[in-house]
Amino acid sequence: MNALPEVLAVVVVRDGALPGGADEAVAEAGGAVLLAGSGTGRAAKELRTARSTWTVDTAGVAPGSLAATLAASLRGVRVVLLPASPDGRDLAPRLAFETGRPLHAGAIRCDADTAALSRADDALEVVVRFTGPVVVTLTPGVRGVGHPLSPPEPVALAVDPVEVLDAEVVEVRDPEPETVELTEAARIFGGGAGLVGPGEDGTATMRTLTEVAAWLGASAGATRVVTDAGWAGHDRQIGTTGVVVDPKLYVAFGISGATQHTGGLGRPEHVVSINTDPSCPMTAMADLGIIADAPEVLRELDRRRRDA
Amino acid sequence: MPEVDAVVVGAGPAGSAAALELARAGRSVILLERGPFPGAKNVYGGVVYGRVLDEVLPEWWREVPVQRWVTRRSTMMLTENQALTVDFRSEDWGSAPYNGMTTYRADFDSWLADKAVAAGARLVNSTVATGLLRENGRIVGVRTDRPDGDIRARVVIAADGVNSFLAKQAGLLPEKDPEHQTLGVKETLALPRATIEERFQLGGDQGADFEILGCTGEIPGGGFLYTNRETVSVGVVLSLTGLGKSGRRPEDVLADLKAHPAIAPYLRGSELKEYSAHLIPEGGYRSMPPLSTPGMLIAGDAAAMCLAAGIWLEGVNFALGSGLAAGRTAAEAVENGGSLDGYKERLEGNFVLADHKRLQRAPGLVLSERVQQQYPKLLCDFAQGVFTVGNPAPKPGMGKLFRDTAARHGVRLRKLAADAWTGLRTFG
Amino acid sequence: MRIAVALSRSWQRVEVDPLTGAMSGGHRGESPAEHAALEHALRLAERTGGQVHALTAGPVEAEEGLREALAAGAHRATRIDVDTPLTPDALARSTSTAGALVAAMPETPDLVLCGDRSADGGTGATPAFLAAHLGAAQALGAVHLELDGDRLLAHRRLDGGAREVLRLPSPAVVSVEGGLRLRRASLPAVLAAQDAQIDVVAPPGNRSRTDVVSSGPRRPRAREHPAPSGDTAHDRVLELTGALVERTPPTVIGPLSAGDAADELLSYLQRHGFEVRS
Ligand SMILES: Cc1cc2nc3c(=O)[nH]c(=O)nc-3n(C[C@H](O)[C@H](O)[C@H](O)COP(=O)(O)OP(=O)(O)OC[C@H]3O[C@@H](n4cnc5c(N)ncnc54)[C@H](O)[C@@H]3O)c2cc1C
Ligand SMILES: Cc1cc2nc3c(=O)[nH]c(=O)nc-3n(C[C@H](O)[C@H](O)[C@H](O)COP(=O)(O)OP(=O)(O)OC[C@H]3O[C@@H](n4cnc5c(N)ncnc54)[C@H](O)[C@@H]3O)c2cc1C
Ligand SMILES: Nc1ncnc2c1ncn2[C@@H]1O[C@H](COP(=O)(O)O)[C@@H](O)[C@H]1O
Repeated sequence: MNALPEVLAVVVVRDGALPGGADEAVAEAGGAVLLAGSGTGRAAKELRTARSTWTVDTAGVAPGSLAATLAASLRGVRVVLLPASPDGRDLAPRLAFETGRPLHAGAIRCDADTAALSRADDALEVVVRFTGPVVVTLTPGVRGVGHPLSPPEPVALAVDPVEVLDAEVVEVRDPEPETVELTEAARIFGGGAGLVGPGEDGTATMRTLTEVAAWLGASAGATRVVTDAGWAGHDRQIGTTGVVVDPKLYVAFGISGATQHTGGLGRPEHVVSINTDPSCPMTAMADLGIIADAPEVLRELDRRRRDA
Repeated sequence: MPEVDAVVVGAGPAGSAAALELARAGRSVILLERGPFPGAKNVYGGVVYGRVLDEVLPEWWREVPVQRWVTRRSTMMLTENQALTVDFRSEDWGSAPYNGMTTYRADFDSWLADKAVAAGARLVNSTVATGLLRENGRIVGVRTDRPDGDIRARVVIAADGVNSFLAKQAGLLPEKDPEHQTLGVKETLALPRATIEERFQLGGDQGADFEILGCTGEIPGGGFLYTNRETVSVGVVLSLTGLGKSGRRPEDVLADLKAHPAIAPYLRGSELKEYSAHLIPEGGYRSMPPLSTPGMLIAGDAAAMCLAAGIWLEGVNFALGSGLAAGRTAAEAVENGGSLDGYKERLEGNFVLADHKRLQRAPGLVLSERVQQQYPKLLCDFAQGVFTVGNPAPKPGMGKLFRDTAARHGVRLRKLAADAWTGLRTFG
Repeated sequence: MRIAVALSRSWQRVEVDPLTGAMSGGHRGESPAEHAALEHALRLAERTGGQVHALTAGPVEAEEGLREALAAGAHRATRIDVDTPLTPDALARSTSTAGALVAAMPETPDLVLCGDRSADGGTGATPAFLAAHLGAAQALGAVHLELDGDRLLAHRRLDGGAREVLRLPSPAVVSVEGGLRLRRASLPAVLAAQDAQIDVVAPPGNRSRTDVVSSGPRRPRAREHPAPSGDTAHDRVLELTGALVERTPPTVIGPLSAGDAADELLSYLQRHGFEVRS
């Protein structure tokens, strides 16, 4: 069964590890997936949504060579769907170029004929119709996955490796807790407008929040007010138009709890809100509401971190 | 070091107008703006009375970035639970040559600065003038915050807005002057276009401009409500000293205005887009600083040429007028090596100082305790008396009703007559 | 080193009407990431004695960004004359820009620096397309660049916060995240840049069109969840609603001093098994 289906997920695997959003992309593609990279056999067993799995084992995952290697096999596939993980975003344009198709990047929904693309900082949804074969990337976290399926036996696909100019990997460093992508963090400390006093350097404040969070094994996130002010990177923005997260613990520092923010919070088991306003929505939805000056509390935590 | 005929600091209405005049006269001019583009952060209520733009561009209304043309002006007097409105509308204002318009500052200021650039002025954004260069007691240029940032100029025009740093440095403005400053705070609220037109009874691109008295509690001031295409701006202008004494927060005063039963229905269901606050020179002829010093002129809010007293909120037109005059004066002075003294005369000769002179008593009157506190209550109660149908009690005579109401509010009729006379002389 | 920098003067703070989906843009500008790319380029050029060529594909307004680049020290500037209106069509695009940029490069540069995404909520695909067009190696989303001898090392984020360090051959395309601030141009340089020449070139003819069916405000998609596994309907309902999950009753305390607040927070974390990691 070497004939690949019309709609196929392509997932880049590194040392047997699946990227974020892999299962969602596979589910969106109806369960058909091609795993490419190193350790694809191991990764195949981790999939929860696959109905049929093909594998291509390659030495590295450099996007230029990988695209050139896979292009020929994908000729009959109309919709190639990749998760918009770092490796997926790397590979998708190269695949599109190599196979002469348009790329529809950042989809939040994709079927055999159309894709809904999220644009304008996630405020706009543009639906495009495919006029021929396409490559699509699906934003992780937008879909969710249903009941787990037991993984099918993978079929190895024979390809002719092609090499083109790529960057040379010097090393891959393990994640540090504070930079773990928010989507995967189990503990998140969020900073809002109330965490930065008037005239204060918000960037420094967010750095302190990141350090204090790391000390407590957590990652730092922020509201749009904070990311818009440039005090934190946009990848830190939690909310309906930012990153959608799913932590167990969420500690909100000076956050009012606008729906656009809480809409991206998932269902944390524990919510703590530190706010001067006892009736703000964030405190109302918290398990523990602490009425206090958030900048001061952060400074105090930072002192204890240094002393520890 | 760059050397030019003139450097203009601040690309607000005053600065761009000055730069435009200079450039049109063939003078080399650099226009400095602190923001990333002109108007980026400039705050105002929303209405420009643009007649003076006739001097900038014939038929300016064809291309100015307008939101709505003001065809309806209302003056409202509020008490806690009453409102008396004088409502005026004119279809004449809805067609060329137009009277007033609502426009966003980011659009308007950029548009005007573009005119100056098209005429040959050099606009340098994201650059702050940080000081004056002097030689032998004369101002000969400015220092900016850029590397190698000094500019030599034969004339410096400070159009850097209220609290002008340059005017202070030149000794033309006192360091602190809270008595002559008011604080304006405003919110921009989004509403669907059709809703705005329905609620304010406007057609197509018509706009409304409400001035409001008696809505600032014990703090002397006033309020406003203007319509844009898809937003309305609502704000209050508060005496700084009064605000200080009251211990209230400006946003609370604004919240009260928004919640007033006569205002709230206009705003229902709107979404807050922006909150901003800015000082305004209260202005008036009497508090105007000296307007020039060797090598330098000041224009617009920097020269306190703004009229912000209760129901007046006009500054952009005066800024434009004084900017044009400053530019002309500077261009002539550069050309014939003359002095800058003609500036004040030039302003006296046109509407800028003529209006201010005529209205010099207006701030005092409008901000007086009587106009702020007593008259709105008096007039509202009087109106309530007139319109209340008290059958079977017979209707009171108007004269008696007014005398009784006035007495109840402790208003002496003689004082009222005197104020009316002042008002007539001021505005008549 | 011959370095090209791609600057996209695109819409900042696009607002979308939640009912109609109508868009209004604030002003156009580069993203912080692109400013960082330019600063990296200028620094690398200084250290290697190279030249910086700034390019943009956009309307006349986009020249302002190029003049800023020239004022900051870029040696040359080119604008590819294309319109980038604020329309769903234009936002849905991603393929054609790179081709136009490459066509405007007089020769293949050693290094092309880009932002990791443009300000209108771009997807960051352009740099990879540039690499494909140029036959170059790519490093996307670099958070740190360093020179190792005469080769460039790029550090970039991978999934789950891992970092990959890549050594780049020539030619290479690197997109960087924001963070590095663009230097402040001197006043004489700003003035000189206002008169500097900007090359304007026409885009190559074959612009692909995207077939947009509809566009509107984004509504979050309902997320799928595993079906409840309980044996009885009652169990399944409980599982779905989370009714039996143990939760602490909500408490609000305070106002507290900073010290007391920190105590409360830390003891709450400890009580619920979120220990301090040493
Ligand atoms: C279309 C759209 C999409 C949006 N998407 C998102 C999104 O994805 N993510 C997002 O976060 N936002 C989003 N927003 C913005 C959102 O509506 C809110 O404006 C934002 O979340 C508010 O952020 P905040 O809580 O930091 O600020 P604010 O609402 O200003 O709240 C600040 C809080 O700090 C408290 N506070 C003040 N001082 C102190 C102090 N000293 N100590 C303690 N507490 C203090 C205040 O009581 C208040 O509760 C979106 C908005 C729109 C219109
Ligand atoms: C809340 C409020 C409502 C108002 N409503 C109205 C109204 O409805 N109608 C009306 O006509 N007027 C109104 N005004 C008044 C009006 O805004 C001002 O009178 C007018 O803007 C004055 O123009 P200007 O050019 O003198 O100064 P500004 O508009 O203040 O411009 C000054 C410019 O100089 C720049 N600048 C300042 N310092 C420096 C520096 N050191 N270096 C470089 N650049 C610098 C600033 O960025 C700014 O662009 C209102 C004011 C407020 C605060
Ligand atoms: N129109 C353009 N002109 C020049 N560079 C661009 C253009 N569009 C995108 N780029 C570059 O590609 C990066 C990623 O853009 P995007 O793919 O739109 O997110 C940007 O940060 C720019 O460096």
